[in-house]
Amino acid sequence: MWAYEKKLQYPVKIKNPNPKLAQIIISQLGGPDGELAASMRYLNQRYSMPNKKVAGLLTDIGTEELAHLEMVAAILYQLTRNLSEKEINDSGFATYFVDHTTGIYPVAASGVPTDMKYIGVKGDVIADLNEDLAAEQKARVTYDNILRLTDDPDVRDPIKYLRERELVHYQRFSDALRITADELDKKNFYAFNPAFDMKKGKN
Amino acid sequence: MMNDYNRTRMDNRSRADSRGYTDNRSRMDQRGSCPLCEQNRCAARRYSDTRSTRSDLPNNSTDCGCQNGCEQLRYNLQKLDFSIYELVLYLDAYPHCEEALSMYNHLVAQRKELADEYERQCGPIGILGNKSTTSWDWVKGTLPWEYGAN
Repeated sequence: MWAYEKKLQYPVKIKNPNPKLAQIIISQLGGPDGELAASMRYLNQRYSMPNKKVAGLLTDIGTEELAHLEMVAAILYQLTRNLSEKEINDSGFATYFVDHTTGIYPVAASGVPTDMKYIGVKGDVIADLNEDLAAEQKARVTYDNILRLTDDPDVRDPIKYLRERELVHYQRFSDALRITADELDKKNFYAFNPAFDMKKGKN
Repeated sequence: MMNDYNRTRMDNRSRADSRGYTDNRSRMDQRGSCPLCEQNRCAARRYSDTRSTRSDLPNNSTDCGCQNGCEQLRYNLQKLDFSIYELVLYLDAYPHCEEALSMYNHLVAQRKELADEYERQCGPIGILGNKSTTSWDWVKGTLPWEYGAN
């Protein structure tokens, strides 16, 4: 099960609201490479992992992604506080506002609501870990793109933190892939799916 | 080594703007944000000050010290938890690394102490951390996503 801690993983303290920027950053909440997709990807993939180390890693990284989801939501919440009707109209935020007011709803920056089609669960450790490595890099690129689009140091600070975490997760998934390959058939580790074929004759 | 690295990273964030501003949405919450503050009547004073201030302007009258004490404790906790989480991910992949395990044990002991101090002064971190026998503090205090909670 999960237990909530009443604090952010890293502080979010944004002085100046900026609804236009919120509309871009929201992609890391509900976009294809966002934190919601990341947490769902890892937390659902872990059941078919043949190795306890890799299953543990997916659990802990998936959990950290939930903390990142909260940080992105905090950024959006603070960027959209105390808005006037004029600011909402002038910033282009009106199209989101009309449906969700200033509530936090997971959509991509393009306005498409989040979708589990963004994630893959193949039930094969090599396929899934390769997806995870790509996912971390895609999230890193999205944060890079956000950093290109804002000068506000209050926003850049937590975004830079989140970007660095993608790099650390990428390193750990690289370790996981190497550990997995080491434990499989050295001559051909594509010979079978250890999550499925190994179960025959057991349990 | 990791600890020093994290400290430097986390301290890069400027703390100069960390006080003296009240988020309109959190104004009501701040009254009960810190039990220590309530004892010292700081929270009440802060609340009456902010009521006369435009919510979109910086408010420089919140220097009672109590809220900042909780803010500093929370920040220290975040730094410690960051180091611990980094070690957890590392240990998942390398469970036999004695150096990492020893750092983990060292930091977890510090974390227990700091979390206990934080919960006594500033309210619960988790649902098992409600220290008062007479008041349910879990639903009090500023919410983590508020400007005033960071």
